[in-house]
Amino acid sequence: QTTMQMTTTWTSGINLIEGDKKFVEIANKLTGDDLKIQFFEGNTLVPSTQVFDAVQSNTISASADWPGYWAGKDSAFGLLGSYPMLFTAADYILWTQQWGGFDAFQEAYGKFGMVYLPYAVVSMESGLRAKSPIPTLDDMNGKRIRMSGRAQGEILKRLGAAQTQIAGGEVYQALERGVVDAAEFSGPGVDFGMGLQEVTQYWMTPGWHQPGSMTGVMINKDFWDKLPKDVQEKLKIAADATLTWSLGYFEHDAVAAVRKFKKSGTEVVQLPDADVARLQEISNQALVEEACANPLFAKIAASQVTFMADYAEWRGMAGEFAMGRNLKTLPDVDKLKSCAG
Amino acid sequence: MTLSPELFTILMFAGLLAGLLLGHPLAFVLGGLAVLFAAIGPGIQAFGIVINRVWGLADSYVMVAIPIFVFMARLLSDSGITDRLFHTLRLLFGPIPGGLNFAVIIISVLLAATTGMVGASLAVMGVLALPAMMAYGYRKETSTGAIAAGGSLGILIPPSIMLVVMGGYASLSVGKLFAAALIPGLLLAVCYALYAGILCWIRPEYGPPVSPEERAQTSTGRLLLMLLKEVAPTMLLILGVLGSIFAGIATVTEAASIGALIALLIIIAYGRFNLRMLKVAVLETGVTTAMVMFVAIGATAFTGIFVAGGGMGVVQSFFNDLEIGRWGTFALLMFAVFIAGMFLDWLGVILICFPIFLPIAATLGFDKLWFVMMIAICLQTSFLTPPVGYALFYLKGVAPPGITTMHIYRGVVPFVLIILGVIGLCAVFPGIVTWLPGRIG
Amino acid sequence: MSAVPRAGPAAGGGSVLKMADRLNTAVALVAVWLVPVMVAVTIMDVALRLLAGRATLWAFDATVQLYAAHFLLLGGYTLMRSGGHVGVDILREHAGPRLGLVMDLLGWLVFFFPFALVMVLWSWDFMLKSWAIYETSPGVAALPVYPIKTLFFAGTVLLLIQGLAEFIRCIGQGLARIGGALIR
Ligand code: NA
Ligand code: NA
Repeated sequence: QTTMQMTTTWTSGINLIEGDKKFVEIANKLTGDDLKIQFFEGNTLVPSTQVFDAVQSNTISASADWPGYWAGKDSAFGLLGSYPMLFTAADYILWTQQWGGFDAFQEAYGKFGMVYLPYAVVSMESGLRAKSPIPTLDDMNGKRIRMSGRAQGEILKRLGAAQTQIAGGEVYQALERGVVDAAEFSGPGVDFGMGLQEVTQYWMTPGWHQPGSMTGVMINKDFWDKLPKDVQEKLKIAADATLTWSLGYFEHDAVAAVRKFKKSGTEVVQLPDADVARLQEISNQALVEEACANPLFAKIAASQVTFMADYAEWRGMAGEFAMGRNLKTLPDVDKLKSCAG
Repeated sequence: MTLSPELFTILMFAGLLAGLLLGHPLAFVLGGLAVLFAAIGPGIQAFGIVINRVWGLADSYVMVAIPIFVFMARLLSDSGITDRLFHTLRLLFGPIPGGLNFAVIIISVLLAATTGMVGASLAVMGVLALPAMMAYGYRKETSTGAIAAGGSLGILIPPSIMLVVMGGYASLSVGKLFAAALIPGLLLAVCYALYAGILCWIRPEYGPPVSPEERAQTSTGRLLLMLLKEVAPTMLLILGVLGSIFAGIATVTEAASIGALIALLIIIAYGRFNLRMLKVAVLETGVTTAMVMFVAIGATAFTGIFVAGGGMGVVQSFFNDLEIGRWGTFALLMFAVFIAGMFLDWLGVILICFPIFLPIAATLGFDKLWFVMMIAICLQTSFLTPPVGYALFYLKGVAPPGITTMHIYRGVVPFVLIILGVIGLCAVFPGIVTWLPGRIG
Repeated sequence: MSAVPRAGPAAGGGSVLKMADRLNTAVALVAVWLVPVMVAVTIMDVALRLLAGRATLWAFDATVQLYAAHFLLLGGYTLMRSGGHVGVDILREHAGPRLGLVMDLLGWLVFFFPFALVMVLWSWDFMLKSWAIYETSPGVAALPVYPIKTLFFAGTVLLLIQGLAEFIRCIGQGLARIGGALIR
C-alpha cells in the first residue's frame, strides 16, 4: 500500500480546507487499499507559504493550494487561481473541463515538476471591508489596502492606492487600529468567522479582485508517475466529484454568512456600474501588459480570453438564463411548502 | 518506516532530554534531533521540511519586530539611560523591600500591552532590569523569576500574536479573545507582584531596601526632579510605542521602529550618544537576535519532523480513548497542555492540541471561548518550564555572568505555581474570563 | 554565556581557526547594521504615509528581507561569541574533564554537525530552485527573492565553518584540561 502525505495552505479555522477534506475523503474511499492519503492541516508540516517548494522537491508528496499564491514563481499562476474582473466560479469549471484549462494547469505546474488536479471552485469573494465607506473608485486614491495577489496590487496602484499584504492573522488588528484603511480577506463565511464584522461597518461589493477562484492539489510528478494508472484515474474522478460539491458547499456557506453580516449591522455599499466598467478596462490593460512580459502568462491568458469570446455569443443569447440568475419575483414559497404537507 | 509512531514520539522527546543534559546548545539539539529523526522516521526527503520551515521563519513580517525591539532596548541600556532609571526607581520604592520587583512587573505589563511577543519584552527586561537588580543585591532566583514570568505576559495581555493565531484556529473572534485575556493577564501580574512583595517583606535580604541613610541623601524635591529626568524618557518611549499602535498609525513592527528612533533621540538629547556606543548596541542586537532566532529555528525543525513522523496522531488517539468525567477530563487536558508546554513552543502546542481538544471540550459542554482562554493561560507556563522554556533561554541569553541555569530554573517555580492557581481560580469563577467579552457584545 | 567557557574571539588556536573567526566577524560587522537600516526604511514608510498620504510599495517586502538577511548571516558569529548558542548547563558544569570532553564531543557530533550539514546541502538546492526562475516576492512590489535565499545558503556555510573551528577548539581545550588534571 502506498501512502501519500498531503498538506494544504489552509489552517482548520479557514473553511476552504473543507474542499481539501472532501477530496481526501472521496479519494480515500475510491482508492481503497491501493493508496492512503495522510492529510495534514495547514502550517503543521511546513508553513503555508512553503508548500509549493515542499512538493516541488518531493519533501511532501502533495499539497492543496490556491494557485494565486505562487505568482512570485511565475505570474501565470495568478490566472489559474483567480484574476480580477475575469473568471467566475462557473467559468473556471467550463474552461477547465472543455476549453483546455486542465492542460493549462498541467503546463504551469509541470514546469516545476508537478501535476495538478483542480477540484474546488469558490464564487466571488466578499470585497473590501472598512470602517468608513469607499463608495467610488475615486475614493480609493491614497488609501492603504490589504489585498492579496500581484495583479490586484497592480490595479490598486493604478487607482492610486497602496497594496499591503499583511498576514491573514493580522487583518483583524490592522482594521481595528486603522493601520489599513480597508481589507479583503476571503469569502463571507471566513470573514465572519474572523470577526471582521466587529471592526468594520461597511462592506464594498462586488469582490472584483476575485470574482471566482479555483483551488486544487499539486502532486509531485515523480510520485504521480509511480502510481498505478487506475489509482491516477480514481484521483481524477475524486477531483471531479469534489468540484461540483464545492460549488454548492461554498455558496451555501456564503448565503448563511451574508445573513449574519446583515444581522450584525454591516452596511453593503455597491460600486457604481461605471466604476465596475472602469475596473474592467484597467484590468484588461494590466492583463495585456503582463502577457507581453511572460509567454506562459500570455498563453494561458489567450486560452482564457478565447474561451470568454467563444462562449460570449451563446451566453449572450441565454442572457439571464446562463449560469446563475436572480429571479425578479419568486413563486409563493409558503404556499409550496404548505402543499408539500 | 519500521519505527512505530508511538516509539518515534517517545524517542524524540527522550533524545531532547539527553541532548539538553549534555549541555549542547538547545538550538542545535533541537535541529540535530529533527535531522536524525527525519532520517530514521519519515525518510531523508523530510530534510526539506526543515529547510522550508526555517525559511518560513525568515519570510515572516510578524517576526521583524524582534530585532528592532532588541535594538531599542540595547540603545537604552548601552547608553546608561536605564542604569539611572533603575537607580531612581529604587530610590522611589525606597523603604519597600523588593521594590524593583514591582518596577519589573509594572514595566512588563506596559511592554506586554505594547508587543504581542515574548522574545522582545523578555530581551528588553533582561537587558534593562537584571543587571541593576544584581548590582543592588537582589536575590537572583526571585529577580529572574519575576522577569521571566512578567516578560511572558506579553503573549497573553493583548495585543498578542498567540491569541490572533488561536482565533484563527478556533474560529473565535480575536476581539473577544483579547477581551477575555485582559483580566486574567492582569490578575497574573497582580499575583506575581503580591508574591514578590510578600516574599521580600518576610525576607528583606531578598530585595534589600534603601537604607534610611541612603534615602536621606536625596531630598524629596531632588527625587522628583530625578524622576522627571530619568523616568520621563522611558515613559515617553513606552507611550510613543503604545500610542502609535493604539492610534492606528503603525503596525507592531513599525511601532518598534518608532521606539528605536525615540530611544536614539533620547540618547542624543541626554548627550550620551557616540559612535562607539552605537556600534556596541548594533553588534549586541545582532547576537541577541541570532540567539533567539536560532532557538526558534531548532524548535520549528523539531516540531515539523515530530508531526511528519506521526507524533500528532499518537497524541490524538490517546485522548480520544479517555473516559474520566467532565472535570477529570478538563484537568487532564490542562495537564497535557502543561506537559506539552514543557517541550514545545506555544505554536506547536496549539497545532497539536486544538484539533484534538476543542472537539472534546465541545462534547463536554464547555464554553469554547472560556476553554480556549484556559489553554492560553496554561501556555504561560510553556515559557517558564524546563527543559524547553523560551523565557528561560532568552533570559539566559541576555543575563549577566553569575546567573546560572539553576538560578533561573529555581526562580520560575513559584511563578508557575501561581499560574496553575489562577487557572484553578478561573475554573471556579469563569466570570474572570467571560465577563469582559460578554460586555462588548 | 555557557558556564563552561569554550572559545571566544581571543581563545587562540591555529591560524586556520583564526581565519574562521575573522571571516565570521567580518560578515557580522556588516550584517548587524541591517537593523538600523530596517528602522530607517520603516520610519521613512510611516513618515511618507502620514505626511504625504502615500506609502511605498516596497518597504514592507524590503523590511522582511533585511530582517531575514540579518539573522541568517549571524549564526556563525554568534556561535563564535558564545561558544555555542544558549544551552542547559546543569549537568555539564559538574562533569570532570574526561566526561566533560566526551559530553561535548557527543553534542557536536550527534547534534550540531548532522543539522549544519543538512542545512548546507539542502539550502543549496533551495537556493538553486529560486535562481532557476528568478523568484520574486508575491505582491506587486515583486522584489527578487533569490539574493536572500543565497544569503540563507551562505549563512549555513558560515555556521558550519565556525562549528568546525569551535569543535577543534573544544577538543584542544578538553585535552588540555585532562592534561592539567593529570599533572595535578
Ligand atoms: Na501583548
Ligand atoms: Na516549557
